[in-house]
Amino acid sequence: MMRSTVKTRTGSNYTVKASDEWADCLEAIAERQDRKSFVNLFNHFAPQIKGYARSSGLTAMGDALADELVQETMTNLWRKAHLFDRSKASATTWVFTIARNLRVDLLRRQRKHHTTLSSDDLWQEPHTEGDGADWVEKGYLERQIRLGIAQLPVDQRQVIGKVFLEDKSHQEAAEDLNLPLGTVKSRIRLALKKLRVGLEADSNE
Amino acid sequence: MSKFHPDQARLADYVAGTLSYHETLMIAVHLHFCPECKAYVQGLEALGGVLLDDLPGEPVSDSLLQATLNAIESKPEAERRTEPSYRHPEVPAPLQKLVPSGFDTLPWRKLLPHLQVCDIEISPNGPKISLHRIRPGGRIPRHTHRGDEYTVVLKGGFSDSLGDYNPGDFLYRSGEHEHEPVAAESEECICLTVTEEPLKMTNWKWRWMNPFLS
Ligand SMILES: [Zn+2]
Repeated sequence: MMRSTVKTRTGSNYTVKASDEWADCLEAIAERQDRKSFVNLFNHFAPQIKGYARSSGLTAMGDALADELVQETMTNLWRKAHLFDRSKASATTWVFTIARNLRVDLLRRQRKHHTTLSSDDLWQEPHTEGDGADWVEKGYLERQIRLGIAQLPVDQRQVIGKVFLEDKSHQEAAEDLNLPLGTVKSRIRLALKKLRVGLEADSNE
Repeated sequence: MSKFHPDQARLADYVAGTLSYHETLMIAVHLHFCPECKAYVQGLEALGGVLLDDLPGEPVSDSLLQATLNAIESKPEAERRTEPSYRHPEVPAPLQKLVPSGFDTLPWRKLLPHLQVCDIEISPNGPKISLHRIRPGGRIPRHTHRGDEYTVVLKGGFSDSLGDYNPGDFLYRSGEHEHEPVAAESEECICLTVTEEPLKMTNWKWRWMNPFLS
């Protein structure tokens, strides 16, 4: 049995080519329930999902909740692999959205906040319905974002990380960083603009 | 094409999963109408993926891998895409569970001559999710909302002193905002609203209504 290890990487030495490898794994699972691909995916994503779980508020009960998020996310990858479509989203994006949805459901369950709608009603899977923008294809968008992050000033990178991966409102992020709320908000806006997440990116190319 | 959108920082919070249940729902419904924001959300989801990928991981035990392998073993059947049995064409996808058989069959309650309301989800401590329905050309007397209010237009349109609103438009108004909406003449207007507190009439002729509006 392969051992899962802690993975430390910097954004720059990680290439988009590798993310195709994860898409290959998902397709192998969809086509022939390939367990070896699943173990590869697990070894790559489980440590990240656990890191995400712990930074985003699933810290009660020692490791139990974080481990639950890892197991639920991985099980979902297995069961939903046939829904994955690499022309609509990269494997990493897909894993992020699945982990995010399960994290929100877990937190609600834990806080006994009962709601009629579940995460799957509130976040459409990136690849399911609609016209899926073409520029998502071929990893263009993701490559652009990776480049953008590498060039982001440290203060903006820090705020973006807090907003996405920690369970923090802008107000709480401001308290954490000891900054006025307005500064946090303007750093978020600046960072999003520089990362050119939106469609305006295309017209500049 | 809608003209009134949630701002980009709010969309980022939506993608991060840090908004309240109600705000998340309002944005999901707006996205149903707005390809522009939907494309932006796809970009933000890619950003989320990149950030996740850059995280230093945490050690995961072998027993967790084993437990996960056992879990997939016990559910060998791949999950089939479950299409909802019936989708009412009028109702945006995120609202299907709350409005399963269309707007007309809801237990509407008359609030004012031109205005009906139906609460579709009430939580003990949180705000209320409601639908408001204004007759074609109906005018709602001047009022404020005692708390913050989110609105997404689902059908028809209405206007107030700040603009004309059409299906998909996303509005956020603070409690102090006072307005006198008028529905478009051509058809009835249905809006999804989230309010912390009931509306409060400010026009003297209608003030007597206030105790009955909650
Ligand atoms: Zn929009």
